[in-house]
Amino acid sequence: MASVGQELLDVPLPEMVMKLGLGVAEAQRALDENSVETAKLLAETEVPLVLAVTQTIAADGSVSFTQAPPVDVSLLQIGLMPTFYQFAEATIEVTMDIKTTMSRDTNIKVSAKAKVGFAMWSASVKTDVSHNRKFGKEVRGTSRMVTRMVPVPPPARIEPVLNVVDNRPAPDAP
Amino acid sequence: MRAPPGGNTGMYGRFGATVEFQDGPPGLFLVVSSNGDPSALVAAHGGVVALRLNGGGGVVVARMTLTDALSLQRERGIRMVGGVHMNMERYRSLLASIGAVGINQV
Repeated sequence: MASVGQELLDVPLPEMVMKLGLGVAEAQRALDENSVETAKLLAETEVPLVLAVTQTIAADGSVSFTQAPPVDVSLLQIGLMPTFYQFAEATIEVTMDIKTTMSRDTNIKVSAKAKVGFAMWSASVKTDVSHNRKFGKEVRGTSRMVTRMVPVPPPARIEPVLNVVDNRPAPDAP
Repeated sequence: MRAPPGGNTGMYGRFGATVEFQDGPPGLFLVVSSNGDPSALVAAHGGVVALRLNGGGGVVVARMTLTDALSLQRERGIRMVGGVHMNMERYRSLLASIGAVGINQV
C-alpha cells in the first residue's frame, strides 16, 4: 500500500506546471496576434479630419461657419493605439485529502464429531480460523489554476514617430 | 466574479473544471463586423458604441469590459475584437503639428 507521502509525490505537479506554462504562452501569443491585427486595422482605417473651422461673425451679428477641406489620417496617427495584454501571474494550487482505513475480520468455526459403538468410540474436533484484513483508501484532490492578465503599454516601436520638417522661410523681422 | 455570458465554461465543465472570469473596468474595443452594423451585438453583450468609424457601420469603437469583449468575439459575424486606448499625448502632438490647436480670434 502506497504511503501518504508517496501519494503526494505522485501528483503530476511538474506536468501541471509545464501545461500551465504552455497554455499561458499559447494564450499570450494569441493576445499579441490580436493586438498586432488591431494595430494593422488602426493603421489602415482612415477618417477625415477637419483641421480648421472658421467662425465668422458678421456686422449684423449673424454667425456663419466654414471649414477647411478634411484631410484623411489613420486612426493610429490620431492616437488610437492597440492595447497589449500580458499575463502577470499564474498560480497552481493542489489540495489532496487522503484517508486510509484498515479493518480485520476474524472468523472461527468449531465443529465436533463423536462416534460410539461396540465398546469403541472416537471423537474429533475441527476448528477453522480465518483472518481477513481489508484496506481502504479514499483520495480526493482538487487543483486550482489562477492567471492574472494586465494591460501593458504597446512596444515602443509600434507607435510611428511624428517628425515635422518645416521648410518655410523665417518671417522677416519688422 | 461571474461566468461570461454564453461563455466557454461548457468545454471545461465537461472535465469538471470551473472557469470564472473576474471583470475589470470597462475599456475601449475596436469591433469589426463582417456583415453590417455590430451595434446590436455590442449592446447585447453589455457594451456601448462610442464611435462609428465608417459609413457602412462595420467598424465601431465600443466601451465594454474584457469579459464582454471576449464573449462578443465568439459571435458569428464578428470578425475581430481588439482592445484600443486613446493616447492623448499623441493626439495633442498631431494637432500641434498641423496647427489645429486653440482658438485664433481675428
